[in-house]
Amino acid sequence: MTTTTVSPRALRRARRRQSLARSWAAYRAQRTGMVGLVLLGVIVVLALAAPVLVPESALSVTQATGGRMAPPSADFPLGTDETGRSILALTLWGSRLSLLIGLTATVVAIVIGTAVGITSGHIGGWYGWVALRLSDWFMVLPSLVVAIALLAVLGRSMATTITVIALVSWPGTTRLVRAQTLTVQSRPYLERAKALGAGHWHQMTKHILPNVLPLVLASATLLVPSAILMESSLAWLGLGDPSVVSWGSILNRASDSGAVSAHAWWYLLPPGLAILVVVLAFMMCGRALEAVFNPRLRGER
Amino acid sequence: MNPHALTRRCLSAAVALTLSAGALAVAAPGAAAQEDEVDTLLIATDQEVDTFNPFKRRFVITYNTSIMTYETLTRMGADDYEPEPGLATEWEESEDGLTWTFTIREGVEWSDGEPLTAQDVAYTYGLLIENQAIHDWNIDFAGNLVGAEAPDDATFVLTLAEPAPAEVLSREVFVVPEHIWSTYPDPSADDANQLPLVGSGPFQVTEYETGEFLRLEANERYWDGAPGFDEVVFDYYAETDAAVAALEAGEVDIVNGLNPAQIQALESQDHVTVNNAQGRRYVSLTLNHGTVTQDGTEFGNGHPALKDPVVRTALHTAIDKQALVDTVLDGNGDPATSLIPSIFEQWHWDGGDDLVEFDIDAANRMLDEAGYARGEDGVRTMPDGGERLSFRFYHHADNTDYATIVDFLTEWWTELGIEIKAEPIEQGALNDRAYLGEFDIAFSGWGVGPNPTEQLGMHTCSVLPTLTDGSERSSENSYCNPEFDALHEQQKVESDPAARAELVKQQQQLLYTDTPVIWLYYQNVLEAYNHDKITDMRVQPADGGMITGQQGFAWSYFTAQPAAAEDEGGTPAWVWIAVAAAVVVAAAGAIVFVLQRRKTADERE
Repeated sequence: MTTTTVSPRALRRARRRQSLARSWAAYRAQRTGMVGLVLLGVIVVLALAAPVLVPESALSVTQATGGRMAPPSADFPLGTDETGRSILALTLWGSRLSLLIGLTATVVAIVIGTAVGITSGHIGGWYGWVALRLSDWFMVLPSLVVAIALLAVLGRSMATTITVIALVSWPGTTRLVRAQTLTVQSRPYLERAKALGAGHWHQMTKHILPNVLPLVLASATLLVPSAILMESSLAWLGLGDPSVVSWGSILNRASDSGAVSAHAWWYLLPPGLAILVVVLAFMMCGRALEAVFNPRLRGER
Repeated sequence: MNPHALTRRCLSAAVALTLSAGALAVAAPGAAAQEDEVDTLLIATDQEVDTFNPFKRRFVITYNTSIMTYETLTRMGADDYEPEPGLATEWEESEDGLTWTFTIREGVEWSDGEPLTAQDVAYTYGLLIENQAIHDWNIDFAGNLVGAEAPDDATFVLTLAEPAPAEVLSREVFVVPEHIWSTYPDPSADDANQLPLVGSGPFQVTEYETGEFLRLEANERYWDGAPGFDEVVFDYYAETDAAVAALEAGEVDIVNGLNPAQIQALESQDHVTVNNAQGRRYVSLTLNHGTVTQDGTEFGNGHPALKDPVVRTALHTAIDKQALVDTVLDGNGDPATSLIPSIFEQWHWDGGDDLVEFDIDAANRMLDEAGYARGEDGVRTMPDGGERLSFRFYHHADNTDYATIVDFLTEWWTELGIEIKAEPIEQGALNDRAYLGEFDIAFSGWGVGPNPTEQLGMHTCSVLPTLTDGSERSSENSYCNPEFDALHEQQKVESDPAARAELVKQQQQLLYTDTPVIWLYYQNVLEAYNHDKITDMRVQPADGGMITGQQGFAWSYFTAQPAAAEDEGGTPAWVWIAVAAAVVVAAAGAIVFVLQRRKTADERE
């Protein structure tokens, strides 16, 4: 016990730093998590650096120099598409949109899911019941069918794709957050806060939210790959905006322009593998994060 | 539950699934290659049937079944689309062009054995005149009919309000059997015509299963001889790639609507002949130059700049049609001038001195001179400095060719200082917006018949809508030009082919220079068939003609003869690809499944 005057704020900061360091150590101990993180880092760097690595003019159809669906060569390491553009350039640029849509949709879904989850768990009553039923309802809807129907009605653009994906993927988070909220709620310190006169807002933001946040982070990491997969599926089904390049839309163009019949594997494999790698990397990170925040999972290894 | 036990169970399920999928894929071609006693001609298709009522059908598939099941008085020749004797052996036009007398072929029987007489013909034309719904559906032709009579069993007399020689001989009126149709409570109903159909053509529709198949049986009584095949079956394939694989495996005999990559893949197959024929179809861009009704009421919300012919011409000048043909079609087509494709040599207008050449600088100069100055963002504005030149551009969401064209046009037009907001939308929604005038630029395209009147007629003042609700859809583009209409009336009654062709070309020239529509290209018909199974198919027209898109009579299917079939051994390459794909998918599925199970199992503990 020291008697020096440490401000409560500094104390809190030190404690946070400590727990962060503990989590990082726990995360680092997991090999798959580290592999996923490195993979993810590489992909994000490539996506961000795409404009530097490949000029945007590589996406121009009027300036394309390659042959029609030409196999890989020195000039085009991954071959060309039906207009003579480099598949490598398309895949690199496609990563930007796929990641952007995946991340944005996840953020939207997580925000909705967390807000509904915390409020329904904390406030409860008839509001909690309605919110829960609403999330149940969204959960049992077949997500791809709903997404297709919504896109058909709302029209195709990046914004609607994001909205639609967020709309069909928030209920999982709600469930998770609500359960955690109920656990936190029954702890004595919350009773103490209540006794000291803390309002709903204060309780939710200062006490409950920090406690559910780690869980939210883990579930978000696992939500991104499913969002990316959904975007790719929708784009592959021809429901994306065909004027922008994403991995799904590359696959859509490939299959529509007969790459399957022409056995043009270089047109189909790069975007497909890219989706696979990103999904895998996110899954690995998510699993590791889950293990960090849920000590019961750690003992298993 | 023990998670490891679960994992094991999932893995074994996945392996079992994979194996059975592989086994199925290998077994499929063998199973389909069964010995048939009847010779069947299998044609791949993806279009559902709209109606078997030959007076109301609008789809390509039912056009094909109609020209096979029924016949017309004159049929369109295989060599050059010229009318030749069909159900009528001879015909005569009266001096004033208002009365036509047809001699009906003797000894023709319906597929049920009843004799076909002039009474049936008179009954059929009578439906066009007297049945209100059928009359309305065919108003452009039926509106000109006055009377249809059969003085005796071999003579049919048709009277008209105005002379229309080309229409009478080329209009396809499918003659239906009176003894069957007179029992129908409402011959105009979509479901009036019950299967099996009774007709006088070479094949009759007998069976239809939605999304599965459409069967036609040969008419042994056909007056021009029984067809070579015993039956024709349209087999449904949702994806052209699947149809291509089926043709490679010998499961289907004719496939059309191919793209260049598929053509290339099929050319390497020994048993497949690829037919790359000049087509009857054009792809065009409709420019919203202002939608109006008959009485001049303007509606819709087209961009004001498109009312200016200079802007429309500038857009036209900044399109390299040859580049589109080369890239989008891989050279399988021709750059378009106006609305009659070059396959109809006699009607096609080649552009002459008015031909617009691709020149972006020239297009920029036109816009500069007309006062469309560039704003700070590089986008031009109206000469009064108001609205920016930003155009909505709608294209069919399911058409990748159109999406590629949009990419090209956007790049070219951006160089003109024009902003393009491209939006892919469903065909139905696109048509709705187009007829409501709520668009700036939109894709369109038509298959053109050998009689140019129908296509040209869509650009006359008389077909402008009377209402602004977009429900009247006879006018292609609100185009209305009295000079054009005068030429149209002239060509309709002109009986000298050379003089008529001259008028038709003048009409096209007017359309081309006014530019309400920009025609991009005429698309080739890309089709392929299994020559180990079929021989002697007659194409239309004779010189480099097509097999599947024939007009007026199904020459190809009628003349097709079964060849001595040979079964090839070995498993085709696509089967192995399918097996590999199935393995990959199943493995990925198993991994995801196991991860998921583990996750939930852990949470439940």
